[in-house]
Amino acid sequence: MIKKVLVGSGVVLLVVGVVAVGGLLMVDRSGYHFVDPDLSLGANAGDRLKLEASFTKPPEAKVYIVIDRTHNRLELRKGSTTTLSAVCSAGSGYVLKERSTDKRKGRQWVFDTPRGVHHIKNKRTDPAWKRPDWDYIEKGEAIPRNPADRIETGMLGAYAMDLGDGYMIHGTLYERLLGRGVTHGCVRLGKNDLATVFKECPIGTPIYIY
Amino acid sequence: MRTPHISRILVVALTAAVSLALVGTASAAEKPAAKPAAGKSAPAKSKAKGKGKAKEVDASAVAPPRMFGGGYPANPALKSWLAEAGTDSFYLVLDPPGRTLQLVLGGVVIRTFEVSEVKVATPRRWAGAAPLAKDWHERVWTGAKLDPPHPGARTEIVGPEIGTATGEVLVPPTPEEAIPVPSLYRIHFAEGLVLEMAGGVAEQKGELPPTELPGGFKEKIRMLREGAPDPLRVRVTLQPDAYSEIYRALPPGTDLVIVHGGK
Repeated sequence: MIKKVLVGSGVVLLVVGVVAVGGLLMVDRSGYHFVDPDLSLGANAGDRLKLEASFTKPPEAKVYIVIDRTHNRLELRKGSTTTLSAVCSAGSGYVLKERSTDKRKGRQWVFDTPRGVHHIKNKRTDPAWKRPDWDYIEKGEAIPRNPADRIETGMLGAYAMDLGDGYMIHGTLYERLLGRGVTHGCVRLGKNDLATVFKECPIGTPIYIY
Repeated sequence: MRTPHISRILVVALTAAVSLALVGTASAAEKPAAKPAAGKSAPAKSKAKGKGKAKEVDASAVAPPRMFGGGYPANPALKSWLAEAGTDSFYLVLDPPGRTLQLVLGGVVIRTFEVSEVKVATPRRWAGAAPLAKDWHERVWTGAKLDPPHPGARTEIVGPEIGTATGEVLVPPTPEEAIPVPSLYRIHFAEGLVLEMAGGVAEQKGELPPTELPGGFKEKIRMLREGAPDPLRVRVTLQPDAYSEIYRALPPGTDLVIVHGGK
């Protein structure tokens, strides 16, 4: 009797074990069943072609700028053709904190180049730079009371193109740092690339930053 | 005395078998309904259907699609594409037959990546795989999140005391140094789709199967008991450069449109 029970239990355990192992073998380690997607064009071909025809923006003839702020690359494009591929410097992503004083709590700034669609709002030759507060704080200098004392020339290179909110595409004294995110949010270009972008891009040129 | 390894495996297997017999397919089918897509509720109708109807539940595993009004074009996927093109937000366009993945902003293609393979997957069940929702390529998937995320902490600088600055220029790391790319990463969308990115250097060298998950045996048992974590995965195989570039530069919150047909 005991022998039969033991044999019966053994058989049950064996069956359960086989089922369990079989079940586990059915599941690969991803736990997913991957297949080729069926996305044939079929009856949608007409829609697709019409849509593609109307999709390209801006129109082929117009110039626009694409900036990869992570990899510090700038492209000047005309329609689908890239006419200039340049190394630039975008925002460092650093956070600058002002020391708190008895009188006030310290401010802080985040040095990011803003993603999204922008436009060239103004173009300047031999631009002067009005140093903002953060530049004094970062350098441990006293902030001047007279606004005229903030003006500095030669820092931005030969040209500057304003994007609004203080952001610009401009030149740099530190060309060796191009390719790294070193700026406070502006986009710096080398001398020759800056000249090309300035020449090719009228006011209103769209800039796509990602 | 320690239990021998084989015995431990057998014990775990038997435990799993018993658990699975009790929980069975219903448990796996419940999972998506128990974990609706982030912030979005599943349709009441599908919820009401409840257990045991895997097909119904799977259809609700993804949140209701963002549909757009009537008119041209008739195809919903293309309609989604067109609607996204009219916004100033980032979105990805995955074109499996055309073998491209494009990053688009404001209707302008700003980057095009070649895709060598696209596969779509649903969680495995005891008898095959969960059904694929019919609208998976006819909608906008929103709110991309990288998994694993970038190393998050920003460098903080405190301005020096006045007159104490050294004039030293702080040289930040290159993007490659600042954002190391993992051997495997995924992009999760709010409605439940996950893009599983393959093609990194580790995979090219054959060091890592693209869909391998850590945990092995225990992970299998967990999946069989609880169901797979995502209702829908799309594996996109890229060149190593593109694989790394997308990880480093993909804007957070990017949407995704999957389109029919190639060129």
